[in-house]
Amino acid sequence: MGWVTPLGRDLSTVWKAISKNERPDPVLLKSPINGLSVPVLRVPESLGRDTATLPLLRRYSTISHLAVAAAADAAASARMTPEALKRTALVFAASDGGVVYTRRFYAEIVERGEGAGSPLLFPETVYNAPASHIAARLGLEREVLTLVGDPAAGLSAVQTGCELLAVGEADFCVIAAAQELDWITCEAYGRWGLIHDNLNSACVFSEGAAAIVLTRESDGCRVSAIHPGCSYVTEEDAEERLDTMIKELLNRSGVDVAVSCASGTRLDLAEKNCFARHLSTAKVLAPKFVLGESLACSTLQQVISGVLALDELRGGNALVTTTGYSRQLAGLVLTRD
Amino acid sequence: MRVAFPTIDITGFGCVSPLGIGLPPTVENLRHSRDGIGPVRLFPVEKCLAKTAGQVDEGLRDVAASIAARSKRWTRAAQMILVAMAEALAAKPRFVPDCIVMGTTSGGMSLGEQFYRSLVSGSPAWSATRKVRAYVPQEPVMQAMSIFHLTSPVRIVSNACASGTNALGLACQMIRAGTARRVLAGGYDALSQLVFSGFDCLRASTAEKCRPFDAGRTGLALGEGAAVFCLEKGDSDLCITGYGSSADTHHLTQPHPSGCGPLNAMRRALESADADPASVDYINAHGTGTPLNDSSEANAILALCPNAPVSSTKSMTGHALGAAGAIEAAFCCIALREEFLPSNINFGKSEFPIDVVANTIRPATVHRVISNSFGFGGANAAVLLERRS
Repeated sequence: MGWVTPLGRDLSTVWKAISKNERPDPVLLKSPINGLSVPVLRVPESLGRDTATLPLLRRYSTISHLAVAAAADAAASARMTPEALKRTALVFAASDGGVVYTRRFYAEIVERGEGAGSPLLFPETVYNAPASHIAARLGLEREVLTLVGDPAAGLSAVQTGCELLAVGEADFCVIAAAQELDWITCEAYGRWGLIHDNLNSACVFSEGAAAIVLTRESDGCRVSAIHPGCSYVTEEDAEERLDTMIKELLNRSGVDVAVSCASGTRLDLAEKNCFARHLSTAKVLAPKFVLGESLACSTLQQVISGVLALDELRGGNALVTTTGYSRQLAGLVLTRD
Repeated sequence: MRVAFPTIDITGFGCVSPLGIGLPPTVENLRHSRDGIGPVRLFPVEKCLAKTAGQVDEGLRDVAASIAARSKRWTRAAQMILVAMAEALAAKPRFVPDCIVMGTTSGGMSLGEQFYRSLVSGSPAWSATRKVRAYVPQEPVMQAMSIFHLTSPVRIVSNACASGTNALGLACQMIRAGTARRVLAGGYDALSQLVFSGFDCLRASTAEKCRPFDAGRTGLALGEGAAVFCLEKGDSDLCITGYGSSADTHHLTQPHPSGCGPLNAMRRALESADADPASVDYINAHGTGTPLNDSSEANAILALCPNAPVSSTKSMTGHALGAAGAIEAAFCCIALREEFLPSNINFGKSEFPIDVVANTIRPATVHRVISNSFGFGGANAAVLLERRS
């Protein structure tokens, strides 16, 4: 496993902060349009620069730097050999993709006219650019997929990885996700109603990356149950469907730890009510309150938090759920024997 | 251990492209090798080198509205998905998918463009706000789903121009792994100014006609559209029997000149079906018309299926990016059913010793075809389609 977070890149250091619910101080990201500042959690620049050993010189956006760093850490921690990497697939999950280059490229078109955008920026605007850089960094040759969506895309990526292993398309699968910040996404999420002023409970957007390596057989933690998820229509509908999903997952196992997707939006209530009904004895972790909301990346950070929690408990089951802003629900259970 | 690739039936499909809104006009336009590429009418292109693209007919809005009146206010991408989804589901009534897998490259980019312009122009907040939610790539899919009361989870694949074929492959993978029994899969992309300008500034677009595999080819023309397939285990005459993908990390925007990436994807598709390369009756090539793509793909075809007839239907539709793989899989289904090979128009002088179906269709009894899609980031995918005799 590997992650790059506003609190650092070391698994145990960041895990300690999550366990103690210690959130770093946000910094302000200012909109050049209206001058409004939004509190966000940023990754120190030095933590995400990991490209010195790339086989080809490539122009990188921040999201790609972060993704490569987390994936490289995950591959290193799994002690993957070059031979093993040849039999490895990659599923990358993104929510907003390379927004900084996309916004800069489009600004050039608006300001200088169509056809005047920089050819250096455009390739990094595609959603799968980070996956391509990870593949280049690790020397992957098998299936490389990018899934895009709300936070549930992180768990869709895990499920896709499990499927690739199940059918034998790969012997290992790197699941990665990353998120970068830009003032335009803060404008967008602010207008969506996801950002508000009460810092004690507000959703604070963040950047970062996370990666895990799945194998078919492992003596450590495993994905013991995964729900394919569903789409919901309203917040009430979300609670009903989440309830059903949790019941279905709990049919297969009891839960010692619940890793919540709560981030300070009104959608938290649906999950809170479901947890109260079904998980009264489980320890509840809310890593987004420490690491911020980085959408699909956050979801993979929830998975890593679940694994670390079970490591600490030396066994048990951890439930990871996500209620995405774009009306997608998903969940899984991690088990350590 | 590798799980054998099962035969996945196509029990319904629908298609919207510059060659037609729905299958009947598409079949006729393919049969007559019509050129669906014309001057761009959706946004200004005066300062671009390229000025043409394949655009879906302006009647789209009305056709979509005839299915659901509220779609009049949707984006063109959502309208395309709606029409293709309606056509697919009409062929297979009561098809309730366990999952929906759609490929796209640009998602809601046109709304992103409008959002940015609203912000910098100081437009009222509400005019920008309503664009935010619909920007998310699964939103147009979910809008279309709502008309059919579908609440399945949605997976959006964004593997650049291979997305549509990857989506079909991922859907098959889900059925193969037993995590789904029925999947609605395909791809969509609507033309957007940012993407059009992007290909233009890379000098990948042509100012002339798009001439895939021609010695005088000068680049691609962009396109748009959507195609949707009902996939399940059944007894349809059409089926997907193989899928292969590979990563080529040579360069972010250029394929390895040897064609190793495309070759690996095609080879894996054939291996997954345990099929002999010599048994391939037709290849619907990725064939963008760019010098580098076509030479790389021709090398791969020559190495694996040197005698198979080849055409790039992008010569007629333009390159629909994340929708291309799904649209071209639909064209392959038409070739299998209607017994003709779609043509590669604007073709003059060959550069490669491959059998290009030049300029007019070729009548042929076809049983097994490959559809190729390759994209930025070294994403390569191939799907094997067959007609049961």
